[in-house]
Amino acid sequence: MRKLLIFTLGVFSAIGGFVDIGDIVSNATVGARYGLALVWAVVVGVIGICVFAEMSGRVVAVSGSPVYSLIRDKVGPGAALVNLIASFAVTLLTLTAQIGGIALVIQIATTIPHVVYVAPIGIALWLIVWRVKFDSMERAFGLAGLTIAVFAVALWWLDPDWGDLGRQAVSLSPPPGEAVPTYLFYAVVLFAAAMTPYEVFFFSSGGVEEGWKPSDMSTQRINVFLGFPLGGLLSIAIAAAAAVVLLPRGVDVKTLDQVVEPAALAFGTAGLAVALFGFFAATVGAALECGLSCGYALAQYFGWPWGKRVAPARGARFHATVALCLLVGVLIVQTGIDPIMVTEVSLVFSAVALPLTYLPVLIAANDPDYVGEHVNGRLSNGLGLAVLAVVFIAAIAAIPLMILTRMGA
Amino acid sequence: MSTWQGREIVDLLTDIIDREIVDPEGVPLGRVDDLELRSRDDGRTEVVALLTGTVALEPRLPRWALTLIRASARLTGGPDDPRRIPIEAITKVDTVVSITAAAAAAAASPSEERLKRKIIGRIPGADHASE
Repeated sequence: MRKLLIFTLGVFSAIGGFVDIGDIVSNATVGARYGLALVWAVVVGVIGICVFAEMSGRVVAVSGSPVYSLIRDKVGPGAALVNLIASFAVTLLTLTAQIGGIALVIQIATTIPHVVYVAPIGIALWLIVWRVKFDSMERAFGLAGLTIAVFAVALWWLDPDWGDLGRQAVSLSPPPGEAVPTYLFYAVVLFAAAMTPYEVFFFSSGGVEEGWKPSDMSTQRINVFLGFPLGGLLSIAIAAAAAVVLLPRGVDVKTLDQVVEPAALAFGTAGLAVALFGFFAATVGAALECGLSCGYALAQYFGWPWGKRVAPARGARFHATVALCLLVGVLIVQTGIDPIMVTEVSLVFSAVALPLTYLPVLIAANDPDYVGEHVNGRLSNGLGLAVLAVVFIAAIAAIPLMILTRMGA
Repeated sequence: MSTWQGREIVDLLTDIIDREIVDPEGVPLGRVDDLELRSRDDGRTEVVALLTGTVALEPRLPRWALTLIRASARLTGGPDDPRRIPIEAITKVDTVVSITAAAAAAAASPSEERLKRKIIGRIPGADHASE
């Protein structure tokens, strides 16, 4: 019974933990503009994150080391340092976007400008990193994030033309009158939102923190293959709700108020409250994951003691790194810069950094020194290479498309 | 996974350089940044110690990275001399290099120590792991 409970908790927290400010903003923006015509990009992204999360989970369970700790062994300190700096910078930017997202959620709930909340949010996040148990942290925010399902319920309640939504989803092309480059730009953004680099950093380091063994592999697989796709459905629900409520009115999503409108339209203040609660949990959870990931990346490159299993006094450099990153994120948001814009920029640069994150996973999962008999089979390698091809295309196309379309304008 | 047990040939560049060094509890204390070699009387070369610390890593880093690495070392009160782990202190080599508790204590990072003493260790709750 207890085992079943822990198992269910794992799946549910994977679902709720999947969504972050990047998914929220990109899915709502795209839904309001293209309907469900870009849902394929989310599906490809979810397949990608599943394939690579499974590989990194396997590497952790067998070798006991996180994937990125192994990368310096493989490519040497110079190349690994380039990877570290790029991944670290993108994760720091993603952290900043999440902090801005939390502040925006509280702004909507209280109608007081978000800059007021930035410092208290930073302090609260740091206290959680300093004190709260790893598993409790993971579970609490993952489960609370499930309330984002209110968008799916709202969709059902509003009872749209389902046939029309279905046709949009399978059209695989921009609606009439929409330029192809802009459509592709948003495809890259959605794909990057589903595969944001910190997710794999956090997933593989978190596995070490939780002490995964080879016997945990099947549980992890189910968490990944059930939890992530269902989490992807939450993202799609946000897009579909925007397609039904915002698209017909020609709303160009620029604020988080617009994103929560479908929930408010369906269920009034209660719907708004539930949606905001879900967004709050999702962004706080993601902010913690990003902050810790910054620390993990640096600590693993240099071989510092890291993580929440060692007392902060033993992991002084790790904790100092996480605290400094939170501070930097807080200071950037405190300037009053628009968090939605920070989110969009973070997604473009995430897309650029994707190969640096995912290529090492594929290498480690094929190395018998690390995974012994559990090396990738043909299916894993086939899917992995296919996804990696998309990853490289997205990475190369991201900046040119951003410039060409002036950030999807 | 793979250990050195029973192997005749070990490639130092791929089989030990850059590996993580851990104490008996599995807590990392650095990486194998360099090796200390000695010429024996019979003309052969043998490894006598592992070296860890950013100063030992510097020769293998690209030049642009040195400014960055040195600046961050100064930030934590360094740079410090590399720490030396005698080859006898190694208990096992697989994906990580395990060493004895005594050697781990002797090779503890001075910058970690300073940061703990001056800042992190003074914050309430610093001695409790959150597990």
